[in-house]
Amino acid sequence: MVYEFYIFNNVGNCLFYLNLRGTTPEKNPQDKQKLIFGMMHTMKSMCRKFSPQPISVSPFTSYVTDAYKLHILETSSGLNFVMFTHPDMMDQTHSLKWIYSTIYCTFVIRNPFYEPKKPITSVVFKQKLEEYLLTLAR
Amino acid sequence: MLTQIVIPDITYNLLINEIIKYSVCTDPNLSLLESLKNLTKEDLQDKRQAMKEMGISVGERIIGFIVKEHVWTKEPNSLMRFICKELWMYLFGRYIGRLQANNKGVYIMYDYKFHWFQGLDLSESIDRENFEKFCSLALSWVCGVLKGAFKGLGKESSIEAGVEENNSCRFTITLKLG
Repeated sequence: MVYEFYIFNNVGNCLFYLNLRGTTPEKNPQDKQKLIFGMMHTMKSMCRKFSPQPISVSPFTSYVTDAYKLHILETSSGLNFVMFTHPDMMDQTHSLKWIYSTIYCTFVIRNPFYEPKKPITSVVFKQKLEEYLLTLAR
Repeated sequence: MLTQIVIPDITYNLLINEIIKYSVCTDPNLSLLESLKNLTKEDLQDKRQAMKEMGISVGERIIGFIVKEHVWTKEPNSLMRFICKELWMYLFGRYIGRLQANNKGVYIMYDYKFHWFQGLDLSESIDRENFEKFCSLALSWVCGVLKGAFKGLGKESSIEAGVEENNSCRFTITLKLG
């Protein structure tokens, strides 16, 4: 059960936001997005520093609370895919990778009307992503 | 014989997109969508012709490249099969889906895996007209390649293309017999 889906770039701009919960939309999604980005950035650098061997890429992939589980995938191109799900969900790294390689690459990179660093407005991208996320039931 | 190589066409799909953007966006302050909205019918026709001529130039040269490995044939049906297999293999790394002939020089080719327009929502959208303008410009290039290929093989032709649902494209080729 996926609750929300965000795509951030490495500067902190939220390129895409999808709410699958069906609740009323928030008045100021930008505030929440900034919070999420800040928290994600801190977690990534903290995890990297605590690692027993020195590594360059952050090993942070998810954290779980009683209310939700947060999954994150960071790509080499600086994109961060963040997903809020039900706390019992398994590790979703493989599905985030699939979203990147299939849905994002097809509907964003092949779209000549997409401008990098700007929010993604493609309707077909949102449809295909929503279809896929609704199949992630476990 | 050409060995089976998988050629991802993403690179020159993106390059063709940039060529179209370069040709359409005369004002740097307007986005691609707005520039397409402002195109008059004559402008669109001119730009389609320019893309077609680019394609003709490529088609003539590429056919010179391909026929060095293949036997020359004048029979139109085997010529069409040659185009469907060898030319498409050179361009896209695969065979075209289906070929229909009516024995009067009109052929229809269907390509079911034409992924260039996957990123565009052609079903229902306010901007559908502008997306279709963009598709027609890209397809003009492919039509030009086909026309140039036929020219290189000594045949006059007229080619039209249309994009259908589910990433498939239809090319209608009329060959002048004789």
